[in-house]
Amino acid sequence: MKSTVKKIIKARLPGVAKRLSKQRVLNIDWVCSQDDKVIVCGWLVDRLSPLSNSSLIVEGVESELLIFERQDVVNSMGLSSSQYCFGFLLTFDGTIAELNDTKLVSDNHHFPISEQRYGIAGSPSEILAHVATDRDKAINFLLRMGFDVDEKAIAAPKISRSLDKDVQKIKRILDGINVHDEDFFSVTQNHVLPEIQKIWKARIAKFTSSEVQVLGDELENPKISIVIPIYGRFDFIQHQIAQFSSDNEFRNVEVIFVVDDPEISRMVNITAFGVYQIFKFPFKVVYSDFNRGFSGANNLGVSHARGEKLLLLNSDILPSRTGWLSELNTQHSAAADCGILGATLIYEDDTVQHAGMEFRHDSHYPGILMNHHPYKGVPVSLLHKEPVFEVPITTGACMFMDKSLYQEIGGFDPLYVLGDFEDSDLCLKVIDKGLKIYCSSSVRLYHLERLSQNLVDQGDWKFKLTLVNGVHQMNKWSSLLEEIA
Amino acid sequence: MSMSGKRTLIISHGHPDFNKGGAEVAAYNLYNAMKKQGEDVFFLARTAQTPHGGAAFSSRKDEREILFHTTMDDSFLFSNLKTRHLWQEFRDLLLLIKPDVVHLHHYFLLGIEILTEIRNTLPDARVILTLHEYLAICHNKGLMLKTNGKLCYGASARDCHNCFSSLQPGDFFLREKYIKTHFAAVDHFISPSHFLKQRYADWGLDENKISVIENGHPQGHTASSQNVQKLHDSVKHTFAFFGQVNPYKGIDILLKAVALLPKPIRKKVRVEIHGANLDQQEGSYQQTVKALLEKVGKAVVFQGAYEQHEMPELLNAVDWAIVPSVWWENSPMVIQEALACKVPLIVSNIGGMSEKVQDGVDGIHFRHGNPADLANVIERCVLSPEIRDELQQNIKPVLSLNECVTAHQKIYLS
Repeated sequence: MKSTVKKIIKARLPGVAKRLSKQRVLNIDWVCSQDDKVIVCGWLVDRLSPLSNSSLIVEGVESELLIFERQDVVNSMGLSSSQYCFGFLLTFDGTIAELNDTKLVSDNHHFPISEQRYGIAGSPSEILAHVATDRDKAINFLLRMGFDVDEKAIAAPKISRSLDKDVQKIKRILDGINVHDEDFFSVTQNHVLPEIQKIWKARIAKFTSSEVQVLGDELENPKISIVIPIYGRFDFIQHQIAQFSSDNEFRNVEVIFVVDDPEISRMVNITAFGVYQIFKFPFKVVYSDFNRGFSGANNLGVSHARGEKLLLLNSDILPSRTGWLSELNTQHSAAADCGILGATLIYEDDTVQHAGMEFRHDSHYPGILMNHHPYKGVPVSLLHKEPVFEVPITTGACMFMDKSLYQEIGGFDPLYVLGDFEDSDLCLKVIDKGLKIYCSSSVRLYHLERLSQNLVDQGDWKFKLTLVNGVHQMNKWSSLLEEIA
Repeated sequence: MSMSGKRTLIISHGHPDFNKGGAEVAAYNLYNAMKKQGEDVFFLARTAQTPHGGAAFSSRKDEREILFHTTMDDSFLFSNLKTRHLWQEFRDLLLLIKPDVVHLHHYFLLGIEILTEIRNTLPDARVILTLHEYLAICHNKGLMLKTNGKLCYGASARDCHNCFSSLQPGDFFLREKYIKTHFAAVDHFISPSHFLKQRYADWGLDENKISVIENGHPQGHTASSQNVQKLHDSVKHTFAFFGQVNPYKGIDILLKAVALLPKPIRKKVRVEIHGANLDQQEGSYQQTVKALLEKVGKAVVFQGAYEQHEMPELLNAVDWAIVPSVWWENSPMVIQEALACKVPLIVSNIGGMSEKVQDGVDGIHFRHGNPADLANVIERCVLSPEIRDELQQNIKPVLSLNECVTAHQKIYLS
């Protein structure tokens, strides 16, 4: 978003320095027309004094105006607060041609729209992507003005990011296969999988450099290391540290976040420092300049872990009480032949997200054993399990184990492209060694998964990729799976 | 009671010289009253003004009144930790002032982490927070009003997601947890109304840690005989609205009620609207209000903005004050002002309004958001003017600022 604004400033405001030195700047980003109505989307900045809602007046057409925050503009213009800037949506009845006679006036500054360079958006939904914080207000505003807005299309704020090159190659390969072909399984096994894995192996070979940011003093002898990969939502660091820091048990626990997305590294760096200053809780952030996926990120994090015990944790998991980590530790030591201990994960409404997993055939994914979550959505109080109970497999969102075991079995298999089966695969490795998988019912953690519109269909190529990854798992573990599944 | 040499720092999210909200005024009144009593007190107010190059603070009036130039970096969590203001500049200031008591009248705009920062930097200080609306509970401007306009009776992650579809239930869960984590640094809470206290208790705060103290009124009782005199000379019955003109204050309800009055009644009614910021409202709301104003014609006089100190004079010229808010309110300033001037009130029958004004005792309730019911009440007041005298006699003295200070100091020192 930020770089987009910079680009816009560069491309559309010639003589950047000269223009930016002006006190008041107005920019039109996008214009969209629908059924004889027009939407104009832009922003207004004053570099010296705060703006008010009456700072912008439209001349030339009868229009409606909605004003909202544009934190991205505030950031890239280096403004000290959001009061110096606002974004706006302007609507009027008419056609785009009328923009030439329209003038935006801000106190004594005149901004004829004819002098602006803007993009033409295909639909109001595209325009709404620029309204970051007040999207609901903007949707209501546009609906009220009679625009047709597809709320679903914009419900999830997406930063449009082009697919990574390797992923694009894989997508092309997947486009060529038909999952309904009778020989799908053998074609995948013999041709598709080797081809895809070749691309992925070449990528993994490039994982080399990483940097570590140490916040606070390094612990001398941490007993437990927690490894948490971050995907996009780095505010989870703030939430997790807020909870960890209020639990005395965490005094001797090493917390390692892994950030493998260079686009957010800088903001994570700033946030992590502020989080440490406020909560006074030491932790580390490991940065990779290459996107490594779930397996790669965890493996990288573990390579920096110094504790004997390891907790692999998702960033959207939050404790429900204190004392849970030592309880996991005790339970892990006490359970017979325990390889991996998982925890009961619940949604914010205290219903089950995870209480162990099992392999199950799924008619949507023919021929593949899928990881099934029993009791999903059931009120957790209805579940009456032993404090620690054996399960076939457990989720990668929360795994407690010895670091030595993790290293011995080589950690997560990075050849599952973009996820799906790494966790069950790790469980299979552990089972293969003669150890067992358990889940704790006394330790309940919140797992704040997003609401999903549709459980089955998440796009054709992703669906195919899941099948391909499933084939990889079936290949790798055919005899063991026959025994246990 | 005195603070026996203890130093107090009062923090507000705005200075009333720039922002005249109830919270800012309450905080500043408390500061000035304590200062007058010779107490060792400081006032820190957040500001949006431009500082001297890179400075986090500036002073106003004297060295005990300090402006804090900062703002939140995350308005969903009220978070301010990406800038260094709280954990560097503010920390330094705390260590220079070393207050024994820190009384915050808000965390909004300052950053919710300010609570934890005070606790960590001054472990022995007593941290007090006054709750002025429902911001911690409700993302819809702290109104506890659903985005579809209906009243909200309690937040839940799923219901809040229904109000704001682009935010996940998990996000609201995290928001609540995060705010409560920082609220844990507060020793005691103050609420200006029992209603608001109950809402926070329902939300999970320990009710034993919340004391109810009404905002103190600077002049105490200011009723003048002139008021009573005026009424009987006048042919018209004057009803007045005071406050911001925004969709939650219910001006449209009041105007619609006037439009519904039978003509003979309307002729006997004068409605004064003392309110600011109509021009800052959304275009459609401005249009609604302007259209309604046109419709009601001469019966309604739009007076525009007013200063706080003008209120007694303005109130003395009216028969009734009307508070038609469509949200719960907490303890609207206008209620205390009107009671202090012995002006009976007509209020919505919800929340802080129905708590502060007793129906049939010192005022009249009408069904919230219902112009027809308000019109009935106005008609009754016009047809039976003696109601006003009865209610007026029942108005009890309001809490004076000095009484309010004493009540606060009890909590500061306990």
